[in-house]
Amino acid sequence: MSDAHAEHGADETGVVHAEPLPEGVTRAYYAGFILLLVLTAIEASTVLLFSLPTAVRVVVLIISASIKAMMIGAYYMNLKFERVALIGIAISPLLLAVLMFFMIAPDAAQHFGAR
Amino acid sequence: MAAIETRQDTATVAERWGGGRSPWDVSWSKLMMWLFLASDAMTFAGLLVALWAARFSAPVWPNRGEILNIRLAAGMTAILIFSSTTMALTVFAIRRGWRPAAVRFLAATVVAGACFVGLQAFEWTHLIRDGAGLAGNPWGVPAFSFTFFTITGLHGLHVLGGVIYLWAMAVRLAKGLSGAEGVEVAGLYWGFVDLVWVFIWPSIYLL
Repeated sequence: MSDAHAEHGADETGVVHAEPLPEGVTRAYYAGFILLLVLTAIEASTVLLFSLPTAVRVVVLIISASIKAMMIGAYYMNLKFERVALIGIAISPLLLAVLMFFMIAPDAAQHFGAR
Repeated sequence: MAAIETRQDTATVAERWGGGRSPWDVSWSKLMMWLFLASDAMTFAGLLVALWAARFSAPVWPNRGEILNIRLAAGMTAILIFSSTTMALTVFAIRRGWRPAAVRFLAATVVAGACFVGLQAFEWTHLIRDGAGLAGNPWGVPAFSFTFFTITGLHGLHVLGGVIYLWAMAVRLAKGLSGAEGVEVAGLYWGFVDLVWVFIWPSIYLL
């Protein structure tokens, strides 16, 4: 094994050997599972149980989806234990999607208004 | 002093990116999977933005509650969440060296993924029998069924591909042919499949 590889736990084939995850992370997985199910139930209830105004439903669903996405990214995809640069790669599509939405939305809304 | 520190920082950066080591201290397979997922996320983001643009520009949009089975979709969401949890436990187990437990968790993930695909096929069959297709539907808004089949279809293909990928990984893991790194990369893919559904589920079924 070369020194360069040995520095960050890689063998001569370039494979970086992963460290064991912290023991307590399984509690986060189980808690995350319950939280995600509860959030899904809340999301479904906005249609199945309550007749909420559209604006309120949109806000509830955006907040819920954001929490779920953060939970999945942080714990299920292990981003909580990764380097900042890798987190940047993961988040960049979301930022681009939001940008794309706000670029297209005015045109779409104008088209709707024209009808 | 500041100049010396700057030179040292530059040297460190040059050393990190000079070849012979991973600049972000991750394996090439994990980095490539992340780059693939980032590009794939942009594909799904484009489709979801297209869905919302279509909805903004359509004067009417069919009532999803009367056409789609929200309870079934909620169940599919719960199954996907369960599979993500078992996948995360697979990664945890294999990184601790607990191979038999990892194989069991991975098998549970495969079964849950297959259930999701089966339920989606069931849902599609009902809609197609009702007359929905890519070019039109009985509810008068062709974009409704076009966006539904395109977005859920692409996601379903990802789930189906993931089931095959994880099945192969489970077999390799049981035979001792794959290690923690390969399982973790597969786990990233499966987490992504769940992550995308987090946005598809409210966009298509609830709003």
